[in-house]
Amino acid sequence: MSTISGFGLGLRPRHYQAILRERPRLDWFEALSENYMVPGGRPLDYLTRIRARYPVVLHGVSLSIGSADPLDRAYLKALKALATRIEPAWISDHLCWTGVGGKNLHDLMPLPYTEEALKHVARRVRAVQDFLGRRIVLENVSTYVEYRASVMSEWQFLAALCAEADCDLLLDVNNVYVSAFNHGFDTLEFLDGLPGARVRQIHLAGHDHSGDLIIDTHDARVIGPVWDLYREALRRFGPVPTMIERDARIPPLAVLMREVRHARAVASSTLRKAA
Amino acid sequence: MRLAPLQRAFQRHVYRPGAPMARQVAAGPRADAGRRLDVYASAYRARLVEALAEDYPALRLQLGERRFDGLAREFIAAQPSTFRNLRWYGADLARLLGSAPLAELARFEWALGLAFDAADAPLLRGADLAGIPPARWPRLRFRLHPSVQRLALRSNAPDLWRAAIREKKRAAPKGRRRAAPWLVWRKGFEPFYRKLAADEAWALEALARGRDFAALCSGLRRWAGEAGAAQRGAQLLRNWLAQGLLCPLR
Repeated sequence: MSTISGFGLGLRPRHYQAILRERPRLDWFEALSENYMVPGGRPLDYLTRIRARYPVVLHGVSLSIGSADPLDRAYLKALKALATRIEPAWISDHLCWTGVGGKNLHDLMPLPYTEEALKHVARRVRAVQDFLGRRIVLENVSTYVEYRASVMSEWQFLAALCAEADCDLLLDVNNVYVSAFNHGFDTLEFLDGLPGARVRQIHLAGHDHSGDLIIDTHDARVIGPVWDLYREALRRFGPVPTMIERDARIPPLAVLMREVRHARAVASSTLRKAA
Repeated sequence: MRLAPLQRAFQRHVYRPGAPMARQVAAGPRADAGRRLDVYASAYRARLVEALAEDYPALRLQLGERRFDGLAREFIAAQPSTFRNLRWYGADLARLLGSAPLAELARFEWALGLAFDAADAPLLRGADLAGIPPARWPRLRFRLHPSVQRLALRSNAPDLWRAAIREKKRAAPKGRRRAAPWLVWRKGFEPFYRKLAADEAWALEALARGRDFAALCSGLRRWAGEAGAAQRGAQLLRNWLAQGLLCPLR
């Protein structure tokens, strides 16, 4: 597997032209797999041209690794074909399910943290990794419910899954913050519970605070407490490739580049102190 | 509860919020189970409405935001997504609009979207045909580019689309007594559309059915007469090449 380092940005259509014109100082881009799982045309052309200039990782939302439905072979074939074309450093998706009974809720639905779910997901991760011929990277999602059926914490589930399925982690620091607020757990306990060697990538994003719950909207700047939590992650996991993720109310590239520069500064000062 | 029934119950809750799922969920520090579950139910609708709005910007402008939102929610209630990729979810939205001009606007807008990310394919160029000996011409079979779509429209849907997208304005929907043939395709990376003359619509239909060039010219006699048919065939072919409608010969 090839690899990436440094600081990246989620690739969004609004920025295609600016990226090709301005060649922003970024180490890599993260492309949303499903946006390019189309027959042809402009999106694939842009991705191919940007890939010629930057390393890329692929990030999906439809793998539905935790669904009780059978794995979707057609989806996996299309994903593999895209990976052959783009040669991403890695492929990530989310630890969640997106639908059952052949339906799709197009959302990152939370899993119960049970032994049954762990075995089920681990088996599927191994099957997906066998099919794709590479280790996959799974992201912790923002959640708004906790099931009564759960018998372990999210971080215990993630750690057990990595051990059992030999997969890697995409640590979304904002999602840790969001879920911790929604469920009342300790963010540092979450970080301390993760297998550090598995943390392959970090997401930073903004969210919407609605009083009783925080909703993971990716439509705003990263807030101070999430930067603080990012520092804590860096102290534990070292210089993990980090990116800014924005999916709604997407500002011009220059605005996001300021956030990327801030991430660089935060990482370099934190890691210097740690050394 | 085990994984499969839990997921089925949650999914049912997203489609039709109700009590049974709340029993499976613990109350949070600030929000009770019902409020926590609501996040998923309302996010589902909001996300699909947003996807439909992206697919149908002209229809949305023509209907107005409120009516479009109502239409989208009716569609979402009637049709759970079975697609892995949200890109394809809105294909049948026109069905809810019946046969009105707005249904044709929806079909037209969807066709432009299909042209936008249709499969890439090399184009047939004039130079590719230059070396073909005259004796082979009658048996040549041309192939349409994957982005090419033909639509029969009984309304001014393309005018409505242009007014909405180019001028951000509504226009008056108008019906016609007879359907007119339209062409939608992609040239370079841009979707294009134009109205077709009756003979060209017939010729493209014949071409799509695999008829050879001799058959096309022979059919064109109906419009161009015995003397003009071959010339009209050649003229259409030149236009199709220039507009990037054809793929290389097999």
